[in-house]
Amino acid sequence: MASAQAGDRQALETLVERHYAALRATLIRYGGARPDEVEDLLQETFLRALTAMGRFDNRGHLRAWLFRIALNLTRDARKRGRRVFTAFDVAALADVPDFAADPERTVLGRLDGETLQAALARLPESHREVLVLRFYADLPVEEVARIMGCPQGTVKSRIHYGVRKLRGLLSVEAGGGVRAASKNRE
Amino acid sequence: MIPVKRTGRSDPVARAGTRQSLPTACRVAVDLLPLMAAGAAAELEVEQVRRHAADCPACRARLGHVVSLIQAIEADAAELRGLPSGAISGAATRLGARLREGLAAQERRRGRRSLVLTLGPVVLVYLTALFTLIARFSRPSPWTLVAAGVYVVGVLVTAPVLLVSRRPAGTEE
Repeated sequence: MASAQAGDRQALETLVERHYAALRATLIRYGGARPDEVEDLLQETFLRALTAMGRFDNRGHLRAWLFRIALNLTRDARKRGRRVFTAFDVAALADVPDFAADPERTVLGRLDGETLQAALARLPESHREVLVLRFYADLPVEEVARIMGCPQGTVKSRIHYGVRKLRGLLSVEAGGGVRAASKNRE
Repeated sequence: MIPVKRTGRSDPVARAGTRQSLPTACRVAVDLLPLMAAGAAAELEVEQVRRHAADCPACRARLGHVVSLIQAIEADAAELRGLPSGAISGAATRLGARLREGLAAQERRRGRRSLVLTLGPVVLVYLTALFTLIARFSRPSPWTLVAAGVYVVGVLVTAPVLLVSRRPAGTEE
């Protein structure tokens, strides 16, 4: 990391290569950044990490630190209304084939990225953060807790409620819930 | 962007909370299912759910749904993360170059800032001394000192602005 900070080409590329895929997946599903727009956000994340190296004193948690920066940047960008964030249309969920016809049997097998993106976007921020970090960044609960700055129990609780809400949004049990969600928006 | 907010009972999120009507054993299982499927439950809890699900068809179905949901998320995540190695190394090269450029630009900005901070006080001292001498040896006039003050403040305000904005950040070669 020190060589990367000094501008060493090889060190920078290794750093990016090591964290690129997980950070990219996280930013896409957490903030809704389009794949072609996510690179600006990644550049900002790495740049901020490299320039603030003085404040980072625990090498073992570098990944957690990078993810924290990325999430903060994403949140800030959303507050500023930057264009990298697309608007999610929950009504589009109703177009998923077989959603209303046989929700319990087939919906989950047919969930695609856009559907999940739309459902994730409807979750409270804290729930979305833990779900995205746990699944899209593929981080263990312990590391998610470190990134979020909260106890592991809180992370587990958020996973629990996040999955439950996601399931509710996708109407696995009740069926037709997406329609209800769409109507609520109208 | 849809604002995240809690809505009324007609919202599917709110409807998910019908667990109150379930028997205690099912309620415990329902609470543990998401954690279990997410690989965040303790061994003891997993065993508890497994034992209960063996005797409870409804919880078996619930478990199946939660697992399917988690599997769908994991498949989506794997698809997003599973970039070809060529794409990752290409992005690393691209981002690496942009980062080097960004770091160099920051270094230049830092250099200019420290130059201004170092030279500013020196210039101030010399200009003050110069105008004091002028005021001392020329015909005494209060306007000489006023002009000196305006000149010093002008130099101190405009010099940093000129130095910093001479080249916009990130556009340097």
